[in-house]
Amino acid sequence: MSTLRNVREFGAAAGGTAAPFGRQIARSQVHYDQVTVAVNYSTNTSSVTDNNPGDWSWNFTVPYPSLAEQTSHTSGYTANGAITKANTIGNRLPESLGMISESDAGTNNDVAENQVAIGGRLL
Amino acid sequence: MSNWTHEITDIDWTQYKLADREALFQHIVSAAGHGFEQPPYAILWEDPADPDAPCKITVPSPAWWAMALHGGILPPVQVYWELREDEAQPGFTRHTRGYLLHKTQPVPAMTEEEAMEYLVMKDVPPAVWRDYKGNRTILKIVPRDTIPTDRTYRNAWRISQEPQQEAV
Repeated sequence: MSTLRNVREFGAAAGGTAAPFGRQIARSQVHYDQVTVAVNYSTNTSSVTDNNPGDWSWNFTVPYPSLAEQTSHTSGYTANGAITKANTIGNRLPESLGMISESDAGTNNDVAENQVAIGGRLL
Repeated sequence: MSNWTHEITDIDWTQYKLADREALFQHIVSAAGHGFEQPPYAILWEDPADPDAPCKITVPSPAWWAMALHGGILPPVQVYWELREDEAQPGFTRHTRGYLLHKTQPVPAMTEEEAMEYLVMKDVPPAVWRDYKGNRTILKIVPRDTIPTDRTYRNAWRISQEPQQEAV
């Protein structure tokens, strides 16, 4: 179990379709010699841990806030540089944004503009 | 699509936040028509607090691996320890020291060995790599091709205690 943010998904080993928090994923694969176990690596993923046959966990380079904070972080994210205030993305977390920043401390809504993801790869 | 083995120059990575560095790095690599190679190593480890559990296998992300070997992108692993301490505080709800990730001088290019050690210290619990005092070997960095391909008995996998045998 990761000591950082640890998101568990079941079934990723079988089909490789699961991704933490519904984040857009870059499909990749873990190869165990001839056997290929498909795993989705989200952006900002440092590693994937195969805990047991049905339990995989992702470890991130940019830790996420606690799950309790998700809803307070879902407005103000940007895609392609455009600020969106609407909660249209619900609880889904952008995949390519740094979810923590020195500039977002103390506010619950607007994520700083400088967190715009290069390339706008968002949801 | 060939694997990425080049160095990206003319970019001051420190002006970007960590997530943006990663996005930029991946964008540059993909735009150049390259892919990321699968890292050749994996970390086998067992949780000393759950001795009956099968061994775990932590595999680096190909993109992370490329960034680690490229250098100048990833923060020192100590940054993650600081954030981990924050998360362990009672009442923790959110990170407020993200600047540690973004402002700390990135580490230079790592060797494969250094990258795996970094990953151990980042993604494997300290109880495994730092605090464990037992005699049993519960942590090994192994070539991926030594991991069994038949997962039928995955729930029974343990780290071999024999030298030169990484998994049974």
